[in-house]
Amino acid sequence: MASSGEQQERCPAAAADSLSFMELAVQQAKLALESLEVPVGCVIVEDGKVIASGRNRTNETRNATRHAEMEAIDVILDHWHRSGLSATEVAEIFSRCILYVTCEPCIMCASALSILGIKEVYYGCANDKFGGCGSILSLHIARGFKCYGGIMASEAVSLFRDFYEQGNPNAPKPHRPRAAQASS
Amino acid sequence: MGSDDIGQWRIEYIPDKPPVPPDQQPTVDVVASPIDPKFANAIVRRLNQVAPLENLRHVKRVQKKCLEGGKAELSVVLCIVPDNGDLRGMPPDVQELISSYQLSTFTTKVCKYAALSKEEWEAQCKLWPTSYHPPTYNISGITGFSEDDSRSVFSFMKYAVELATSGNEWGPLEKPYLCTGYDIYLAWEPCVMCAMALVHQRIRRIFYAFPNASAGALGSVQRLQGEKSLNHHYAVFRVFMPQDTLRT
Repeated sequence: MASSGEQQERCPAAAADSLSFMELAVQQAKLALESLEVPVGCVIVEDGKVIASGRNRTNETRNATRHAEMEAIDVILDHWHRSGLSATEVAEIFSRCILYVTCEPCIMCASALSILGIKEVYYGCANDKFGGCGSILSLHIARGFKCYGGIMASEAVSLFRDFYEQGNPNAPKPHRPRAAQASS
Repeated sequence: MGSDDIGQWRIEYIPDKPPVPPDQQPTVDVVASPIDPKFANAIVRRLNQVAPLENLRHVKRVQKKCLEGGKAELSVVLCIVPDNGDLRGMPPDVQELISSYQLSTFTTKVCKYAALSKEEWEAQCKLWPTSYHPPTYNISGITGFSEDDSRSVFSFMKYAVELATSGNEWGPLEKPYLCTGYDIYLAWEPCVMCAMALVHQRIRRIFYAFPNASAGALGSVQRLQGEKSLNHHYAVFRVFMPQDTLRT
């Protein structure tokens, strides 16, 4: 049970906390951008402590499913596995975890988060092509985790803009001509 | 295993929209009227200007019925019935047309969506004539499989199901970035997480043997192949297998 005041029942993470955790997610997204990856980053928080972070690694791994959320989930699952936690213990900890991610989780990641039974998700900008938390499908409702969007959305969007201006050299087939390299 | 088994195997395309019985297709109410054939051209031309059927392009404007004695009766769709059902809400230009040609209007139903099959089209035309353009897809198999293609689909599916039941694992051969142009054979219809992973990975076709009524995302619970907003769309097939294959 949260020890915070009753007035916070409706939005369990205090606003200041959300911002500072989202700040860390944005840092992860910036790391992705520096590595020429689609700039999405996230952190997983348990009882007010960051226990995992992740950023998009689709190009580096040559695997289109290596989204920031999947990276962070695998970091923490691997850690718990090596600590010898049982499946029940893992499920119990996940039910107390909050994800902060710069962009609304896609349908794949939202489904993964609901299978794991995460408690809450806070995201920056909406994902109107693939979003699984309200934009295209609403997987958070069916499988029950709370979801709040729009936290530091403009920072998230501006990272995307930076990314698409520099062009994605690893994209299989650009749908539109790339802008000139912003390297000069 | 002889070629006799082929007869029991079957591939079924899982379309983007849930199938509706041909006689239960969604309809729209329209205002129509019989017209004098000698004014048909003028009336239709005028209607196409003042009340084009924007979202009903498959609906034919004119219906022709043969009466006894070889005479034809023509009727025309004037416009969609206004939202509140009050015909005074019809476009003024249509009302003007009605009075100048002294038309006696009636309301009738037309099918809301273009027919996806010949059966749907035949059922539609019982209400009001529509046009039908058989779909032209660029993913092979949607419009049918050759005998050779069917055989290879069946043998890959047999292998996939064998892997699912034997517990054998087969590691990846190489590591391409995306699966563009690749097909995947699954014993079970995938969940929404895996189905979306296959979208990200740009798979071309998915073949599965068994639907998953509680979690399947390709026809059972969701129908991800019909989500237009996604940036990639694969074709989905269910492969029916003969019982004796499953027991081996």
